[in-house]
Amino acid sequence: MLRNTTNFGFSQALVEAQRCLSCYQAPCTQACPAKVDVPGFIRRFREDNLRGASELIYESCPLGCTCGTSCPTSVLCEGACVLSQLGQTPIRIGSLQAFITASYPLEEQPSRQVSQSKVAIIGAGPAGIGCAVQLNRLGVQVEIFERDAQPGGMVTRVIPAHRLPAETMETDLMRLQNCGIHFHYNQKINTKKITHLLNEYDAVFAGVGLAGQNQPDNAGLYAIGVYSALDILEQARSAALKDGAPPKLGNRVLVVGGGNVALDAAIVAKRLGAEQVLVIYRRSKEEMPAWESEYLEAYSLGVEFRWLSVIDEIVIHQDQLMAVKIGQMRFVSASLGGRRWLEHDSEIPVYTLPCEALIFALGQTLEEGIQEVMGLQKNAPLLPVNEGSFQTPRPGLFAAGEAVSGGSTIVACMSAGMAAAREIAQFLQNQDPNGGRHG
Amino acid sequence: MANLTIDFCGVPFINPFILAAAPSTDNREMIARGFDSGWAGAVLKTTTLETEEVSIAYPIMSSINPGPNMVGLHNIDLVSERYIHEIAEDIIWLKQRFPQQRVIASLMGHTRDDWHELVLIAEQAGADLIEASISCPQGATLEGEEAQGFMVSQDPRLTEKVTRWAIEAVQKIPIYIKISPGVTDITSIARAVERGGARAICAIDSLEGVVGVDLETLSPMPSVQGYSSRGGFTGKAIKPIALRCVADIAESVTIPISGVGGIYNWRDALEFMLLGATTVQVCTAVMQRGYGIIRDLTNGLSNWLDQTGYDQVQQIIGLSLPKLTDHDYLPHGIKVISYINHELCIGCGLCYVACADGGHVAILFGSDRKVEVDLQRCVGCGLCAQVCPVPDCISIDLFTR
Repeated sequence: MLRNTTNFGFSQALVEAQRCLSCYQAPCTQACPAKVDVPGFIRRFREDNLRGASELIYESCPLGCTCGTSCPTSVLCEGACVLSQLGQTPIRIGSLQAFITASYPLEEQPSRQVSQSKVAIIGAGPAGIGCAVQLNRLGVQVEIFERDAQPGGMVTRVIPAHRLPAETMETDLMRLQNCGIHFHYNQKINTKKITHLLNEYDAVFAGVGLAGQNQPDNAGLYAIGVYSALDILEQARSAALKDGAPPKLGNRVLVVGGGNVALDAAIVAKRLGAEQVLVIYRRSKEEMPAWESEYLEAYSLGVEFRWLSVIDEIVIHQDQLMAVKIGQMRFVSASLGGRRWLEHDSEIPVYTLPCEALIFALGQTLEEGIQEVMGLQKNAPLLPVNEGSFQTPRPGLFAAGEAVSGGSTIVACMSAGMAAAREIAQFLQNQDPNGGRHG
Repeated sequence: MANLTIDFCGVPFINPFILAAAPSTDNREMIARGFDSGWAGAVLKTTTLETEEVSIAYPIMSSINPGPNMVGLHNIDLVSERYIHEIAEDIIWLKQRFPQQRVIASLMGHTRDDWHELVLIAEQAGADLIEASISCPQGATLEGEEAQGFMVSQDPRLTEKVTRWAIEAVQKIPIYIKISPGVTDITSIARAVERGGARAICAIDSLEGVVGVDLETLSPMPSVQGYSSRGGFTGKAIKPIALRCVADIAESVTIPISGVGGIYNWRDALEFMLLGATTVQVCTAVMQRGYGIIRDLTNGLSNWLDQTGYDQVQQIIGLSLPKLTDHDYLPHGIKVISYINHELCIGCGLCYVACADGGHVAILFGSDRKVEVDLQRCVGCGLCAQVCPVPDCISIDLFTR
């Protein structure tokens, strides 16, 4: 469910912290992609050592406030809490982490010993920031090149403002100001730039994320009223936090897809005042990749769901979206590859749903052409890396995050970036054991 | 239903539960509410002669683990700021309204004449009993005597002397003496009380302590504008000390005991009685949870007596004393071990940590988070059962294989 941060001040946090059992080899920590020492920070907090608690969180999780606020905790740390087995609600770990980090946003310190090695990082999203912080801690000089005018990547662009307020990510980013990581904004990446970076720096890390979107194969995508979910989310967040008008979606909104982005879009549409929001998903609820917590949030807001449904046709009149025709799917008895196979159910007639907005959320992909820009082969949907070393086939070029793993969480991308940083540091060490620049 | 009435120093009580001398018993309307709730008696907050200057500095309260799970309450309270003549009015008022309930005057004097005057006034007002307080950490010194600076009840000779002073003045009603746990040998104090002629002993008074230091102001707590004094520590945490004192006293004198110190529920009360107390007094639990707990105290005690087959509470006094023995006489050499109920286990691993670092490294922690007892290494110390957060999950029992 929506994390209730407004009623979670010091008093509530302390009472909650006192419930923690401090498990051995804590399941919450094991379920955390960043392996945050949850019992440790909770103990320090309840022992009145707020700074120490913040230290423990940021040590494992440089985006501590962001993750505490927006992690799908019910499928991660809180989902693993043993208190559930005693019939109790899990410790509100996310809320505690968000509260502690917001109360004591410990400044990231410059590395004590800085080597001559320099690494360029492409993308200031969770993976890039995770990699940068970890490299910086290991004494490597880091420069981040970000395409946008602000850091955060997908996090600061599209996560709905009600789920991740602006100040949350700011808390995590402000603390990086004086640690020695240099951010460069509005930096477009092209083939020449990559080659330049690889020549100028000892290694390059690509945290480019999934900036592209899967396109539907329907005709009529050009029509007024047909949108991509990421565009809607970006516009809505920008309107909520800065300026500009929120997207005008009308009263009847259809969202196509069943992932996190689809549900975010549905929730945002509902919160923007749409009377009816329908999620059209081609499989059943069981297969829906969105988290249960998001489904419950959407459901409680009144979002409706049409399972086993697909868009057969987009009905357009004078370039304006009028309606969609919905076809029904059914499961084929035999399944292939673990996922149940679907086919069109011709016994159920196609029906028409009038609507004023149609939002497609069919999943993200690598940005068109990014492989070529990176100098990598184009035959895979994701960036190819050696699993242990995070190195791409192009020597000195490393990658992690959603561009490598596919759709994921902030915390997992950040952690992957940190893991890649350790490998990069090892790579630099092997290149030049004395720590100087090679070449 | 079992009979909860009890005789204490020849005075009948409707049940063994008495409100101890405290802020809860310094206001007659409040005490009346307590009696209406079902308390059998109340020891009015200790009072003195008007010549004694009493001035309380607030706040007076602090605690360990504040909140519903408070471990111990600490105070720098003093005796009542209302003197003996005013208290005597309360005694008259209460006795008129509550003839069945026992009104006990708690008195504190500094000289022989003080004691004579205090006892006389209290008895004339109609008090059922007198509790002589010679053990309050924030008082109970003797004026002009060699004991200046420490409690009367820390010295057997002075204890006997003051006991005699109080007894000398009384006409009919029983006098008993409340003593402190802050001594090396409480039995020598108890015997002095008995020698002095008191009809009973009340134990224990609060423990003298310093509950903590405020790390912002560096003032000990509770802080009165940056300063504090040594105070009296009470509540759950002092129960083991109180129980031991009651048992020690029960084994060393023949006069009855009013047990007090950390009683929160009927089980605590029963334990005091099983180790020799005839009545029990409650203070901190009432200060935290109100007079209403008396209904749970009497109900729990009554149900236990019924289920165990006693028809009179009087029958159980001291029943556990024969089972409290010297360590030398314990049955040695019998192998017991820890049994873990895997259906209840939640896999927290707290028993594993405790056994590994505080026991005999006899618990194995599996990759499935399940714990197993190493039968060879387990000595049955029982630490695991104490740290387990799940009730009844770990038990210590005879090794049967």
